[in-house]
Amino acid sequence: MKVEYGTRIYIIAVFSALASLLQLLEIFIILPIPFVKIGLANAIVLFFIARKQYLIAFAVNIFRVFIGGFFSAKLFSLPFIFSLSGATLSYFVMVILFVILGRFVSLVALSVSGAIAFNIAQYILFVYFFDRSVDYNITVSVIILLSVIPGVLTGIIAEILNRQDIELIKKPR
Amino acid sequence: MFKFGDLIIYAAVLSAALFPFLREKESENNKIQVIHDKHTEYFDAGKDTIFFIQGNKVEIEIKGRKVRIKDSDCRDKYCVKHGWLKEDQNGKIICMPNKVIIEFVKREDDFIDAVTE
Repeated sequence: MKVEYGTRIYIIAVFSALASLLQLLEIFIILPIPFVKIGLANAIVLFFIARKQYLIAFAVNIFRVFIGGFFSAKLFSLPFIFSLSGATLSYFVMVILFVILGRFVSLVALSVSGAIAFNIAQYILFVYFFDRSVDYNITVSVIILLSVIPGVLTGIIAEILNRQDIELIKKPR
Repeated sequence: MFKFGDLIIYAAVLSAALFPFLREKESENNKIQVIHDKHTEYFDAGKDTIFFIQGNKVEIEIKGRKVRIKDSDCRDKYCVKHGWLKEDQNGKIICMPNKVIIEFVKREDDFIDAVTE
């Protein structure tokens, strides 16, 4: 499948809509572990990172938080700020790891590190807002271990998505 | 699905997750709380001192992050027989006749000098 686009705005719009739809629909997917969600929208971000379209990946990542926050009625509230900071940190962690390790890294490992960064950013903000006396303790390792399972799931989906025959072709003006 | 560079990320994740378990646990109790009559005093657990409270009736010694009642003028001297109270023990030294309670507590260094009750 070939996707032709004139400007990046077109791709960003389409895939932001897709990512926020996935983010909203995964409310209905119930995992047996509490407080854990899969984060399917991250698969699309990973798809663009794997194709070295970093700007599109960043825009999709930010816009899906805004759109998802708008439709779940959490826009500019505290969970929204947590989600935004987590998305930003996970994006930068994934991009830096991908730039450093390049083709030696699979999307599953990138997804796991992104999921952990997402939750760690939220935990840091939680500590900052609510409980400043907490230091590095067992809570952090519980967060890390709980992030691994959805990270692996999302990574497998992103890997499947990446192996599809999708070409992004920029039309010459 | 798996490439060689993944091992670096997985090793980092695993070590970050296991770090709290491997770390040597340091005790959270950093102050010695001495309650006598209706006053509460806090002493630094790391500083070795010997001091008297209750008008020279009870002699308390702090040494090497441990505390004991060295001498007391009470009749049965249960508090003296109790011996050293260590930092990681969740115990108290109590001298009923002299109304003294000693225990380790966790307390941040705030700028309040004393508590009046």
